[in-house]
Amino acid sequence: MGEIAINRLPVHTYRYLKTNDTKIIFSGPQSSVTAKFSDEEYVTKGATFPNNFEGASEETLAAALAGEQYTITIPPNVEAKITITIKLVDSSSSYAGGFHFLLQKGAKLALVWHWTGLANTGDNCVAAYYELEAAAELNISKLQAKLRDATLCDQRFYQIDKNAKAKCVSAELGGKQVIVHSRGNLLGNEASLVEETIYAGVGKQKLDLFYHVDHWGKKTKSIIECKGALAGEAKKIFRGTINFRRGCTGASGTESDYAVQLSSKAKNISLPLLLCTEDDVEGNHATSAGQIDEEHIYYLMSRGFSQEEARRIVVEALMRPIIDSLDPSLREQALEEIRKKLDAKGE
Amino acid sequence: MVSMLIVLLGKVMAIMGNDEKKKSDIGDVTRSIYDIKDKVEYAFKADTGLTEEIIREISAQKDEPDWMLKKRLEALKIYNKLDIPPWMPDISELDMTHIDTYVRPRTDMKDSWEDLPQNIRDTFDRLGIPEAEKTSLAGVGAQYDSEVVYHNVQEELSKQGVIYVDFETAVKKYENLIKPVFGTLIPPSYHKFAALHYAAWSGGSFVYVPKGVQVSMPLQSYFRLNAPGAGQFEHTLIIVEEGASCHFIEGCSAPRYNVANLHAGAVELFVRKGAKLRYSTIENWSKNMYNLNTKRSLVEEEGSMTWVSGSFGSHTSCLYPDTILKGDRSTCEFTGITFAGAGQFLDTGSKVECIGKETTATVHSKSISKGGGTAIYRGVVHIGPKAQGAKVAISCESLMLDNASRSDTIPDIIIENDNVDIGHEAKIGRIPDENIYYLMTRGLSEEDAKAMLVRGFAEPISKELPLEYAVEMNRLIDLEFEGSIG
Amino acid sequence: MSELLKIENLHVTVGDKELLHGINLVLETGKVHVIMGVNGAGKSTLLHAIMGNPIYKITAGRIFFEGQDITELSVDKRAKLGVFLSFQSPVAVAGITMENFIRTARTMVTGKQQKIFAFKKLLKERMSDLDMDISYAERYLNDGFSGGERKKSEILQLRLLEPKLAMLDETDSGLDVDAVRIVSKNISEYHNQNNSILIVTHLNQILQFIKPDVVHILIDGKIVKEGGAELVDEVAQNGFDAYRPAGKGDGDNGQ
Repeated sequence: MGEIAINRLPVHTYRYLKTNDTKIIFSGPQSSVTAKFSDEEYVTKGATFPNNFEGASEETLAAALAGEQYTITIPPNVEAKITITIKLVDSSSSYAGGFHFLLQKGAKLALVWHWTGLANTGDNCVAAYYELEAAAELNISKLQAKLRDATLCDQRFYQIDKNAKAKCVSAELGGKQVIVHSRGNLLGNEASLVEETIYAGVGKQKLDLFYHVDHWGKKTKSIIECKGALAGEAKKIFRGTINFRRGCTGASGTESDYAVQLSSKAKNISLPLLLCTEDDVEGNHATSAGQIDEEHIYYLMSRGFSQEEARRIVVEALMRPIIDSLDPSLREQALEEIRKKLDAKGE
Repeated sequence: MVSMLIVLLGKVMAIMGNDEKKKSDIGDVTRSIYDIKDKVEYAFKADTGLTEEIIREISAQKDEPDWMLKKRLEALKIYNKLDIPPWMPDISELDMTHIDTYVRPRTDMKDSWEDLPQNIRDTFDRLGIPEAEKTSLAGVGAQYDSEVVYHNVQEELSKQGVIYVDFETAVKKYENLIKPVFGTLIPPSYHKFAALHYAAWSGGSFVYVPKGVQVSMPLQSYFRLNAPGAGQFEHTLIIVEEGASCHFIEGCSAPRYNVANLHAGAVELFVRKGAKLRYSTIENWSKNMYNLNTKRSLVEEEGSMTWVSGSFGSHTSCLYPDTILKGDRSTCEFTGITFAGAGQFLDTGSKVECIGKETTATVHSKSISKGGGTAIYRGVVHIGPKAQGAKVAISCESLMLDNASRSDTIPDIIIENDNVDIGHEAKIGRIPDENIYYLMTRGLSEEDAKAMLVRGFAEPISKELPLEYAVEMNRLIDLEFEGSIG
Repeated sequence: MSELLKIENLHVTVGDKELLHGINLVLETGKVHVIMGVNGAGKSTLLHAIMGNPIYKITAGRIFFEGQDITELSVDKRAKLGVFLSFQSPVAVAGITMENFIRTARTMVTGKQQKIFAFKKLLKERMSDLDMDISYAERYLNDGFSGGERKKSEILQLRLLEPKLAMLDETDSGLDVDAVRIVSKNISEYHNQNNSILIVTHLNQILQFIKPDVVHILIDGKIVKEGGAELVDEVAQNGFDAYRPAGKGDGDNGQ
């Protein structure tokens, strides 16, 4: 392929800022490894995907769906836990895959995504379609770490019916070019979606994080929370959209993007959009960026910590609440990765 | 101020009369004092449409220096090359070949009020200008259909060396001050309507405040559109020299017509070292206007720029006052409110560019959407790699008064260095039920409670505005609620 | 003595939960009534239902004020008839000054346009009665006020709106001893033969300064006992256990 545009904003703004979308070079994965399921009871090969699954772009979505495909169906009122591991064994392997998760009425699924491997230079694409029927519950924990030179494109699409809840906690710690595209439709009344992401960008990492939630049903709820640190020459762009559609009375949506900048060359871009055609809602967003609060550093140093240690502690504290939401099997590794990255800092 | 206000209100009551039926559409009621369609008599009328011939004609009519004509023609070329930004609100109804760009009323510049033709004096009479001139304002540059008709600079200002004159005159008389900066802050290539502006500009004000001079009274300027199809392209250029300070108030009004009216003005503000400039605006154009105004301010070391902006009128507005904090320790503050009612599409916002070190910016933007109106906040904060120590705080609050309307917040925050402190927050929602209930327990009807709460919402802006604007603003809000019962 | 307020078999629901199950109450002009009960019993609910808060839906029963059925009447119309509620947690309303707000409310409730200077003078007097600094008049309504200052602001409104029925929802909670004394003093001064006070409290501090004529005990959405002032002391001694339905667990003892 060649140059493509990803993560395009639903509503555009000034063109000269070049933030309406991101242009990347993309050649598509070869799909040489397969995903491993911890439990295959509910897994079948092959899947269908809805037309309104947009993905980060047409090209990246097609690339993901051209790989292996699985359908995971959790029957009504059944509780299940599945870990999916994608291991990129060597520098030439790459992954492409499409997954359709169907949680039937009252089903509960705890899902863990674990990306791992060594130095890898490929383009990797995943597309996951999460279909939640009434009162279903989905808890996703994702960790991707190391994979220093890889491009990782994670595309998720949620259709959530009434009283169903989806929560996704991600630690985006590896990869050279990280693309996240999360799109959710809160269709039924009291449906909810929570997306929590932490990241630690170092060296020349690029993080392109896109979240878009449409509130259709009444009393629907969404939370988009993004926290992280940027060091070296890392670049991060956050595009968040909460769209209150007419009729979603009683809905509430919150977006927040907090970034700690640890080097003068890091670049931080934030576009937290709020779109609204319904008055009986509560929409909030907050963005803040800057250095670590000197007061905190001083306090820790007065208790014997070195400045470096103090910085590390403060940044960790910022991300801690989200790390603690991760599945226990991922927590230690996530923390370790963050510590390693912050120590190295790549300045 | 109070006496002027009472007189102004008196005029309003006299005109409206007692048997005026209360109308629920705000447009119908407030427009009556401004909708004075004087029988239009014109001395000269340019051909419709935008061709090189027309531009040359305009320039010749104004007897302009060559350098200005050259700039106009260059701008026309750029205008024809640029496209309309795709993210803008829809302006496809605007047909540029049918907008008269230049209409000059039948009189030349007058120095004193009494010398003006009666019908023009009547129009301004109704808008309360003579009182304003007499009581507290330093000088009034009033524009009537593309030409500044009446102008008067107070003696004190002249003595201090303050220049406040119509732009046509300034181009000829103060070329040495204007030529170096004209069109540099807002270049014609900025966007299509800036190019249009530079090709067809007419009227406007020039203000020059010399070093160290503090202009204590606000300078006020009125705009007016009266001819069907007339476009307004006034250019305002203000230079506040080192250590000086000035407050400029821009307020405008236009009668309603069936033919689309266009306002594509440009405002270039130069705030030099340690200087202070306050720019207040109430845009209350009539409901068929397309308001595509461009305002930009360049602030030098330790200079300070304050914007106060209220957008109520027009059919479609694109308004993004832009501040470039070029000098170290320069600051800006923006306080604005946008009220979009039925049929209105108000796309407003603010832009802040931090270039120097230790700059500070505060933005408070509020918007209200009602009756199917659309209010959009479109903002930019750009902290450059050398803008160490920048502190920026932005807060946007959007109030939706029903679910027929729309409110979008589209902020773009770009940070290119680590030594910054940026906070941005936005809220969308409606008037909290418990607030309405609380006010009702004190005897206010539901509509009165809502009106009071919306006035309270708008209060941080209204308190920054001159009194008559604040009163006008509150009246606009009250009227929006009056028609809602029964 | 005439009946100021009469409540007949009132059932009140919030969302899909019924909080009051058939309340009967009569309040005479000139009297002080107190409603006591554990937390969550429904005391605030009752006051808000009388005030007309739309969140509390009346599913059965009637409310009469001076003989007029006000069950369907909107909140502001009830206020204009002379019903007043001092909120437990008054909301803050930024952008509207206290002075401006109270003057407007007084205009609404009395039906007479208030003259600016006359009102200012009266406001100043009443604020001084409550030991409130005059600078509060210029501050936004309840914005940034401490809990005690908000309660005082409520009583200030009470004195300036002069209602026939003053309902006080936990006015004494969150106040220090001095504040309770001064607030109670103002309420006492306000009270006369032509108006009535309905007090909800679970701390009883206010009752040290204002003597009730009738005491109602509200448990689980029902009035389980009515009596005179002696009930206050009895509950202070023994708690509410005697009045709870048999087998119910522990709650607040009303101390």
